[in-house]
Amino acid sequence: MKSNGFKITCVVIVAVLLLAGVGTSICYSLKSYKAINEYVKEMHEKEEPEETQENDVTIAGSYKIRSTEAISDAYKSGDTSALDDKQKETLDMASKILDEIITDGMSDYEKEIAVYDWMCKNLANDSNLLVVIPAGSGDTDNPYGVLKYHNAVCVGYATTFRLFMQMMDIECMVIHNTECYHSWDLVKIDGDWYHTDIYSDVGRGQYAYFNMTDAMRSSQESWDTSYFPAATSMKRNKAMENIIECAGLSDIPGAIGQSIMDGNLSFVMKFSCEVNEEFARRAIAVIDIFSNAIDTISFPNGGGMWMNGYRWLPNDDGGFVLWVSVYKYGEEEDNSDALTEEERDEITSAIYEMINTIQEKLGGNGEGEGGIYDNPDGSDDGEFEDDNVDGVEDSDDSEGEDDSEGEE
Amino acid sequence: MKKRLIALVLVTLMVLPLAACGKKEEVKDVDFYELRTKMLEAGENLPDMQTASSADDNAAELLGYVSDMDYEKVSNFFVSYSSEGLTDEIVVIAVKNEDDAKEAKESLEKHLTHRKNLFANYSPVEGAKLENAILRVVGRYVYLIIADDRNAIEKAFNEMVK
Repeated sequence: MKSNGFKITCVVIVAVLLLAGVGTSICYSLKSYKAINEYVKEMHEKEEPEETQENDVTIAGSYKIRSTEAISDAYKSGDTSALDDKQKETLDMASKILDEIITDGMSDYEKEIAVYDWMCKNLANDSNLLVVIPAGSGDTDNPYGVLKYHNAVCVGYATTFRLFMQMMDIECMVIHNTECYHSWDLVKIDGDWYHTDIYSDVGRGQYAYFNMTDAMRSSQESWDTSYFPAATSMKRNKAMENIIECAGLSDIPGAIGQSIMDGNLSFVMKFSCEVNEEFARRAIAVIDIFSNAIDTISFPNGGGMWMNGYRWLPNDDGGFVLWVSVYKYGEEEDNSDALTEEERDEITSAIYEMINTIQEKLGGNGEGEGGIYDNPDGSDDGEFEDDNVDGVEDSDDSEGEDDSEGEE
Repeated sequence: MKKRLIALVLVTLMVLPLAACGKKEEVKDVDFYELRTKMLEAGENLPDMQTASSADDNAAELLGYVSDMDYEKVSNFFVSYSSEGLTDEIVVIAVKNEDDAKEAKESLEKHLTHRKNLFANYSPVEGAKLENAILRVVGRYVYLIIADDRNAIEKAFNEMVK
């Protein structure tokens, strides 16, 4: 009897445990099924990316690219009946600006420069873009808010520039990057398309992001090249107006230094020597070193600069040019009165000595002949010569090698 | 013998679920205003910071800027962020049910990825700080700290919560 009771108890306990196990299994199975279903759905959504389009795209999760063709059409036709009040006010503001900056007889290229200059001078980047919870300044992504409050995010610059271009019958598109975090313009001048990114130029470089080719732009961004038209011409690129003639590798450091000091942050170097594959690689290697050095430059107020892009590009004359773009952020302070004239002369002299040393290492003659940098006072007292070549070994081999490769 | 066996089975049944669930981290209920104050004080190099929290009228909308999780699952939160658009940021979310902490963490991971993409495009130098962000779950709390003084700020959190 006692034994039977014990058996029954055991059976009941085992039955309860089995039931609990089965119940738990069913619960987990249902949960897993739900999770798998959600995962499959998510993967399915990822596999079908949205088709690229110019308008009605949201950038950085907040700012929408909207068409402004109704406004430009009204400007060209003179019929504003289809516009709402906000669009009418936008048209009024934009028309006044064009009246102010565009003159009769201007080419499309000159009109483009006039609009670019006005926008760079009169608009400012809206810092709200990077604030976690932005304050409600509003309308920074469309021409109405941009022209009224002079404050813009990238979408605001791009749509406002496009509005101006379309008002003047110049073809223009707003383009966005693959990740939908940035937008800029594609503009057609004299039959060729170019990339222009005013947001990136405001308060920074002069024409660094103006009328770039696909090859230049791809240093910083990627986009759907199957949807947006190709930009391959160098004709109306601003860097091509800043051509520095170089004899060989040894001219590169001076060319870069001089361009930065002249405020030309986008420029090209054209070489009189033969540009073969080996030379092209060596030139890029020299700029790699410069790129690392420039990264270390910092202004007292926290600003600085870096090499934004550099690459060999096919020139319209059938040859190749070496394009360099430098990105400058923050403002340089005017410290011209911080040194005495004597200190300034000594430091300047030392810097020229150092650059001449670099030129020597790259195969130049190091005496200023044909070099970009000549010591302005003509002195060669050697005062800083040894102090400034620390860590740079004198190597006959390397000099010899560079002589054969870098110079004519 | 029978009683002992039954007692043993019952005890095993009681202990099994505990073992299956794993050990849950013991945390204290804290005053969020005080928690925020202590954490911000610990960040000596933080820039000017603004704060949004569950005390705000539009709290659900404000949390939406950093987390897409259902606000019904949140018991408390605060977001302190640089008003100048720098990367510095402290987010603490307390969920009602500890099981939802994972969801809160995932939502902050998405927010961190968004911030990394944003700064990669617009301010790469400042964005480097995001690579060292701290994102952790402690009990029913989830926190994200992006700051030079992140270790000191995390220490202040642990001193209050643990």
